[in-house]
Formats: sequence, C-alpha cells, structure tokens
Amino acid sequence: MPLPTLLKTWEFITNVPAGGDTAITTYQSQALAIKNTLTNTVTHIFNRGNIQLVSGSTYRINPGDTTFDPADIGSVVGFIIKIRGMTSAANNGDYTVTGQVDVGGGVYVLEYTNGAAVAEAIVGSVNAIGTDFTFPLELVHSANYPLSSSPSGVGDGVDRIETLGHWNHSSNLQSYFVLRNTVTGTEFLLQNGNSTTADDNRGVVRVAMAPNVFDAPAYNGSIPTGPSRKIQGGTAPGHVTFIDSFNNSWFILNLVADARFHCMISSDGEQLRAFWTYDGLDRMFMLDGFVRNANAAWALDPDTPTVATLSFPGNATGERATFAIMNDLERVALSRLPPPSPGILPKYNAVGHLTSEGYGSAALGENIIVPNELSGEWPLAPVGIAVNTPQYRGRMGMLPDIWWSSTALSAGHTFPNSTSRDFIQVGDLVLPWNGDVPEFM
Amino acid sequence: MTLPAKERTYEKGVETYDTTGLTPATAVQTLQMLQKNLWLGQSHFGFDGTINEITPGTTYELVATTQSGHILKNLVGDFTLDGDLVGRSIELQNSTNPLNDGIFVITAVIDANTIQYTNANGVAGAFGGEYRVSDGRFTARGGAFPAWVCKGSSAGSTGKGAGMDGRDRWHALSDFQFTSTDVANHSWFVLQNTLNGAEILIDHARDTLQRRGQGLVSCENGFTGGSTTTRPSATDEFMFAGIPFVTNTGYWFITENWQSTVIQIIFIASTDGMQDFMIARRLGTYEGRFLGTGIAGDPETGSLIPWNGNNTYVIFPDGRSRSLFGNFMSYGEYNDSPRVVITVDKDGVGPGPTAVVCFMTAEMFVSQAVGRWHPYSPETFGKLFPVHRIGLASAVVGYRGRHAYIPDLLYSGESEDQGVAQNNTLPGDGTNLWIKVGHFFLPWDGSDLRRF
Repeated sequence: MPLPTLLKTWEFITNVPAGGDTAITTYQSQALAIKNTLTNTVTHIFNRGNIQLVSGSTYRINPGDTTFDPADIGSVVGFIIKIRGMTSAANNGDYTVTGQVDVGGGVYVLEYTNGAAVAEAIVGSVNAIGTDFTFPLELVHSANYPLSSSPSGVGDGVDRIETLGHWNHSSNLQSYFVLRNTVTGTEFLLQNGNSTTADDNRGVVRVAMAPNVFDAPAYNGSIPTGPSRKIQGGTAPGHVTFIDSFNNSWFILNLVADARFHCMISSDGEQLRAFWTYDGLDRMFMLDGFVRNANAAWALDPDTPTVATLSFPGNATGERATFAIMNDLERVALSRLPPPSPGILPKYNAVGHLTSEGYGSAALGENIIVPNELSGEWPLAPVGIAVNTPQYRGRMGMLPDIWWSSTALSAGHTFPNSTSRDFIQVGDLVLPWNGDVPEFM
Repeated sequence: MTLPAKERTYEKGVETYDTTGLTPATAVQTLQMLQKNLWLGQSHFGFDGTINEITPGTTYELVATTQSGHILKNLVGDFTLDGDLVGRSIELQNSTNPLNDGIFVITAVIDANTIQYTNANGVAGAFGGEYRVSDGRFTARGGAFPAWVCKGSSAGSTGKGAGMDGRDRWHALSDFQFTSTDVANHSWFVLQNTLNGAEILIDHARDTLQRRGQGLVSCENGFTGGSTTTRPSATDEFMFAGIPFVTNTGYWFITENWQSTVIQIIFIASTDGMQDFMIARRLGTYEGRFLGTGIAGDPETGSLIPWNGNNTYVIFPDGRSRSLFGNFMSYGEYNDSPRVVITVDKDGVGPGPTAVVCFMTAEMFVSQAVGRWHPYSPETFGKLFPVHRIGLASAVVGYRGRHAYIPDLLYSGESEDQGVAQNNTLPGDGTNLWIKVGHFFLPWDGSDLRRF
C-alpha cells in the first residue's frame, strides 16, 4: 500500500541502550533505562570514574571509560544529572549539565556546578535526565531493595529507583516501580523478581487499566502472582495480569546484554508504543492507547475506551508482535467495559485479539509475502480489535497509526527502507519511526 | 459494528418467475431472458402488430396484436398492467419500414394493446419487428435506459443472425439454439455497462442436457466478433461459468435445479451506473447465484487508481456446481476462494491485459473472519452484528497483492436463519439502507423487502 499519513504527531526515543557501563549488571541498568525513559528521558547511566574539580565550583563527572559516547545520546547540556550514593554526601544532588567535553582518548565528561562538591572517586551512580520530551507518564509508586525497610509510600510519587543498587532483590524482597499514563489512565508495573528460584533476577511486568489501578505491592512481601492470564477485577489490585509466574517473566529485564529500548508516544499522549530489541529481533512489545472508531455502545464517548497489549516473552525465543501472537492469541486488554447489565459499575476488563484483513484462513500479511506485484508496495493492513470472550464479544474498534505488514519482512525493516525511515516493522506490525537507523542489538 | 455510510445511492428491480411445469430448457431460457432484461431495465416485448398514424408525420400508435413472444412479467399483452408507461422509453427494432425503428418516449397508453409515441419519420403500416418498453425501475440513471445496453447478440440461426450491432435478438425461446441437435450453433448475448466498462457474455451452445451455457466477462477490452456458430471473444476474457461442451459443466447462473420452483431475481444498481449486483435465488431456500460488477476503490484514499486498468471488477459465482447455500454468497465461497476478476495491464502500455482472479478479503482473527465467530450472537455492546468492508487481494503469481476494495458491499455474520436473518434489512429504523443476503450486506433502496 502507499505509505499512510499519520493521524497523530509522534515523539520518539529510540535505540536506548541498557547502560554505558558494561560492568554494570545489565538487568539493573536496563530497568533504570526503561523507567527513566518512560518517565522523562534517560540519556545515559554510568558510575565509574570520579568527580574532578575544574575551577571554582565547576566539577566534572568523568565516567572513566570510552563507552560514554555522545553519539549515542546527543548533547546532554542543560539536562539534569542525578548523583547518588557518593562517599561524600555533599556530592549527591541534582545538577544542571553545563558542558559536555571531549577530553581525548574517547572519554567525554560532563561539567556542572556544585559549590559544596568534594573531589572523589565515584562510588554511587550518575544518570543524566533530559527534559525535552513530553511523555505523559508519571511514577506513582516505587520501592527499593535493600534500602527501604518497610513498604514504600503508596502513591507518593517518590522515585526510589535512582541508582543501580536500588534495583535489586533478595529472596522474596524486590524493587518495583509503577508508571501511570496520565492521559489513558493505564498503569505499568515493573518489578524485580526474587531469587527464590534458579531464575534469578527476572523482571515482571503487569498492566492495570483504568478504572482499575495497582495497589503498590510491598517490596518485602511476596510478589503478587495473581490469576494466570485471566481477567482480575473488582477487588484490589484489580489488574489484568499478563504475567503469572517468574517463568513467564519479561526477558529483557533479565540478564540480557546489549538490549535496546525504543518508545514512541503521540503528542497528545493518547497512544504509546514501546518495544525492546535484542539479538537482531524485536523481543517484547507494549502498546497503550485509546481506541479509534470504537464500538459506540462500548462507552458513552467512543473515543475514550482504552486498550493495552503486551507480548509475553519468557525467554530468548518468546513471543513477539506477530500474527501468530497478536492475531491468533488474546494479547490485547480492553478497559472501561461496562457490564452487560446496566446500572452496575465497571468491574471487569476483557482480553481480545488484534484483527487483520485476510483471506483463505490467513491474514493478508501471511498470505502475501512479496511486494504488491503491480505497485511494488508491501501490504499495510489496518489493525482492529475483536473480543471473543463471552459477555464481551464483538468488534471493538481500531488502533490509529499501526498496521499489519508481511511476515516476509524482517524485524527492523523500515519504510522507506533506505531514506527517511518513516515507519518501522516490529514483529509483523508497522509503527511510526523517526528516521534513526534502528538498533536491534 | 456501526453500519457504514453508503458511497452511492441504489435502485432495485425484483422479478419472480414460476418454473413449475416447464422443461429444463424452457426454464433456463426463460430465466436467461428475465435476467437479461432486468439487467437492461427492460421488460416489455412484442412482435406483431400495427403502427397506426394518428397525426400525420408525428404521432403514432403501436398496436400489439400478437403476444407470442411475451414470456416475462406482466407481459400478457396488456400495457396497462405495467403501471404508468407514459414518459418511459420504447425501442422498436426490425420494423418492416426501418424508419419506424428507434427509441421513443411513450406519450399515452390508449388501451391494453395500444400505446402512443411520436416519431417524426414514422410510417404507418404493419409492424413486423420487436418493441420493448423500459420498466422504469432505474429512472435515476440518466433516463429510462440504464447503464447497461445490448452490445450484440446471436439468435443462433440464420433468421435473425448474429452481430455486435447493438441489436437484441433474444425475444423468444426459439432464439436460444442450444438443443442437442444444434451442434454448431451459438446463441449469445453481450451485456455492456457503458459507464464502468464491464461486459458480460452469455453463450449457449450445444448441450445434451439443454440447460447449460457459458458465462464470460471482460472488465476492460470488451468482446468482439461472434457469429451464429462462434461466440465473441475478448483479449481479457475470463470464463466464470462453464467449460465448453463438457458434460455436467457450464451451469450459468441459473441451474438445472430451478425447475418446479419460484425463482427470484434481484438487481441492485447504483444510480450512477457504477455498481450493480444481481442475485438469483430459489425462493424460500438459500440456493442461488450472485453476480456483480463495479468500480473498485483505492484501499487508502478511495480514489480509483488501484491498478493499471479501468478499475472494473466482476464478482462471479462458481458456476460449476449446483448452487447450494454453501457456495452462495458465503465466506466459504468468496473469502476462501478467488471469485472476483479484474483486468490488469501490468506495464500500463499494453497489449497483453490479463484477467486476474482475486479473493474478497475480510477482517479476521485466528484464521477466520470476525463474522464467522459466533455467527448467531450479536456483539455484546450495541447488540449489532459485525459488518466489514471487503477488499480485493490476488494470489496469482505476477499479480499478487492487495489491490483495492469493493464499495458498498459488506461482509456480515455467518448466519442464515438466525441472528441477522437472511433478507433482513438494516438499520432497524425503517430506512432499510442495507439488506442481508447470505453472509453479505448489500446496499438497498430503502424499501422493506423482508421475507420477500
């Protein structure tokens, strides 16, 4: 099909590495990268080197290795750097980056001003936070292990995952954070798995869709397992549980090196897409947004029903955003579903399928594995939503700015493929893209 | 799902015919005539009579004295039975004096056998040709005559002969020469849509069962040639019904099983002449045939440039087996099998246009269309049944791809007698914009024809 015109304007964060310091346990920095990317923007995380006095009250953060390459992140001047865990407490704090200097040998340093700083070797962690994105995600709960001795303040909005050491676990103790999309109301819980099994350091992701929200699970309690891929409604925490055990935990939050995180969101905040890449493939997919052209009877306002979808990778060969997963299996959750009987408050969410145009018992993109032999264009089929669950059956609506492609194309294929790269293939889906060369490390 | 807005406005024609007591050959011949005339928007035929001059040089009366060829609805020799004919067209052919031939406007109905019209060149005298009167069903399409015309015909005999001359030679059963003894003769008829370019060729030749024929379409180039012993051909022709001269094949639209029953033929046409759908069904059953032509739309913009051609598509029945419901307007027939033909001139410069078959796509999950899941249960929210736009996709090597969509034709739930029942119209507010036939919703003209 001809490349479509986007219905919305999009902001992108692409090719976000887990962390610049290869000595850092990857799953920790990956989690931090995700959190900071979604809540604002993380540009880099590092904890090597030292703090050097340049002159007066100007100090440098010297990461001490060559992996801190501005080419990865662009200029961070004006961003906030957050320093935590230093030997001298006077070095901790939030500062504005005033300079980004190439000191030779492939080493870059960041300059900032701290009138009370003390030169010392870095023992804590530093990350630089940008402010040039408008993602409407806010952190609503957090807990860290091992620093907190009691359950975190529920809903206090305090970010307790600021250093690598904050993302940890022990036995049944774990760190977590909950992000909320303030536009759609959807909440995402990312949780560090415990170490009671051999699958140490696994991450868990859950989604709660408005009007349900997460109760913050206690960091020092058992990880709430919830029902296995069922609709859990009515009582707290009232969330759609995609992951029900550690063995189904999210792969990228585990011990994976060189994963890349990519996220995009519409400027009105109504649509969010995120995916993780590793070893040449997309590995996980996450979507949150309002439904377009929704079943008018689904909600009073047909524009406000919300959907969220996740793939459920448990290992390196886990689920991807493919026809086999998203079209054949129930991988989309819908919220704001009024019950069949009027007068009862919304209680349940439902799960369904992402529909595709097709023929002969297969989707269009499964049947057509060559470009259109008349126009030379690959098929791009709209993505709809259908629910097959009793009491909620029906075609529920469409999703904007997302299409099905062909199974013949590889993950990371861009459209146009060698020029502006306005769209990218993730699994068998196509999303808007910002023109970057996609990294599928 | 909410019903979409129709892209065009539609009119309809509906005819019923009782084949009880007819031989198979007679039933098929009669039904072919019925279809042809419905397509042409014509219903009235006569052969013998007198043209009487009323006012010299201008006004004439046609007095139909013999009705031997009348086999169609209401054609019992009574012009008053077809409603108000004043203002409709009458076409005269093969008059004894050629000056009497032509298309004229009826100015009065004098009595059951007499109508009046004006022909400045008319000559009073015995009338030995044929006349036909528009039935007025498609008046919105620029006059009494619709987009479809007779491009040419053959009566299969030396009497009326054959030619691609615009002459309609199918007036009587004797104009169909396809009995077992007519070894070499062909009776054929070419219907041409002057707006979207589609042409349909109905061809009858020798068949031992005397009830079969061939159906061919040309989406762009059109049929040429043909005689009483050969059918016309088109460089982009596609045979959708029939394998010539092979026994037990070649059922054309109406099959042998239509004896001793009541047949209903529904013709749904857009007022701009661009979309036409014809359904022939055995009343009270789910057996039938579906045929349609039209201009496909671009999948993204709605513009009309999906491929190198004139964008005309023809939906055809399988034509090779008895018409049980299983292959009548069903997902199984049109989503699982390619039942649409388009003409593609691949390099855009010709020659070499090719007829390409396409599937009619549907929105799906888990390997089947949304409408095939729970066909008897409406959606929870809104209590509606799903309706989906239909696309065209080809799996023919060299022409693979999604090419366009079909305007104003929708898939619905896979239900026949439950849920949204066969023949129900939607929406339920009395406006009756769509009608359910098989697994489809077709555009409707607003009339309530439930349980017709």
